[in-house]
Amino acid sequence: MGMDSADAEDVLQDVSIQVLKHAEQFEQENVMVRWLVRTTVNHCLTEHRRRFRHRASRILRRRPDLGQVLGGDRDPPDQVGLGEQLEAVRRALAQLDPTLLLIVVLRYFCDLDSKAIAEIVEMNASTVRARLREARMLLAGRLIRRGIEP
Amino acid sequence: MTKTSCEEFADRIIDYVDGELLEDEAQAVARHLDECERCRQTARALRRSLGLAKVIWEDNLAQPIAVSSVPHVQKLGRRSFYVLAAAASILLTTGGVFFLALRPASQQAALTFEEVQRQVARAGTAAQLLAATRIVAQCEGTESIVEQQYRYILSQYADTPAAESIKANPDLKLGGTQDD
Repeated sequence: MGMDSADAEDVLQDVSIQVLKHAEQFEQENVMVRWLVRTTVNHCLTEHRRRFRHRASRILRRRPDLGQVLGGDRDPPDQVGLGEQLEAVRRALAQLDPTLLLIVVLRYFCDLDSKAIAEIVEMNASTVRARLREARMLLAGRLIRRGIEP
Repeated sequence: MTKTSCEEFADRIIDYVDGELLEDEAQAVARHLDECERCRQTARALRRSLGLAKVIWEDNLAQPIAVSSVPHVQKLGRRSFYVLAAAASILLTTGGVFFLALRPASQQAALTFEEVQRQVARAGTAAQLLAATRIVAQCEGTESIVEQQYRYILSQYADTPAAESIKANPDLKLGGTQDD
């Protein structure tokens, strides 16, 4: 999930300690594997959420090509408009319910399909798709409600 | 366009912008978008918000890479803080004489405080990883995870006592090579 090796080691150790704490709960291997995956993903997500604090202006400075990156847009906004949109989405991501954020990350940033996500988060696939739609509308709605013309 | 009509398309617009609809369904949504400004705006906002979210995510991923350009000792996690603190206090107390006295004369010039810190931190990290791995190994059904962790320590911390401990364990059979 995009962690560098040092951060990944931190996660590995935290999860290993959690395994010890919960060892008695794992009577079957598949239960433990699912738990390991879910716990590891949650740890990674916590780390990424911490980094969502980076303000949009800082991201814009690092990505002067953002207008082109969003390609496909016939009329990309100017830098000010882009900054406002970026900040709105950044705030929306940072405020997303953890379960919604997890599903968004797994689907759109890790390229997992609804079935694979369903196994990790222990929901059925249709629920995953419903939560995905909910999250997408929350993010898009933030742009629309703020009157920012996409 | 009536509200009911838009509601019928609400869920499918997301699937449409994600390219996950069959051709017939996609054409139906496209026709609706041609006629409905409000849903067109929703579709644009869905595309734009996901595009920006990906940019923010990529920026998140880029940060550790930027940090990794500073010396390794500065980016150690909090778990290594205690190891470093302990090492630093020992070194400050002895003024480094202990280490210098033990090193051959030919190597004394190359040994710096930072290098000692780095080696101690690496050894500490590897030892903690090894300890965590052995704890996990006590649970049934974790063989493959444990094996991967042993291999990781051997490959990334080959010069540490933890790696030596793994190599010296006759009961540990790691199939294949470390590069598998």
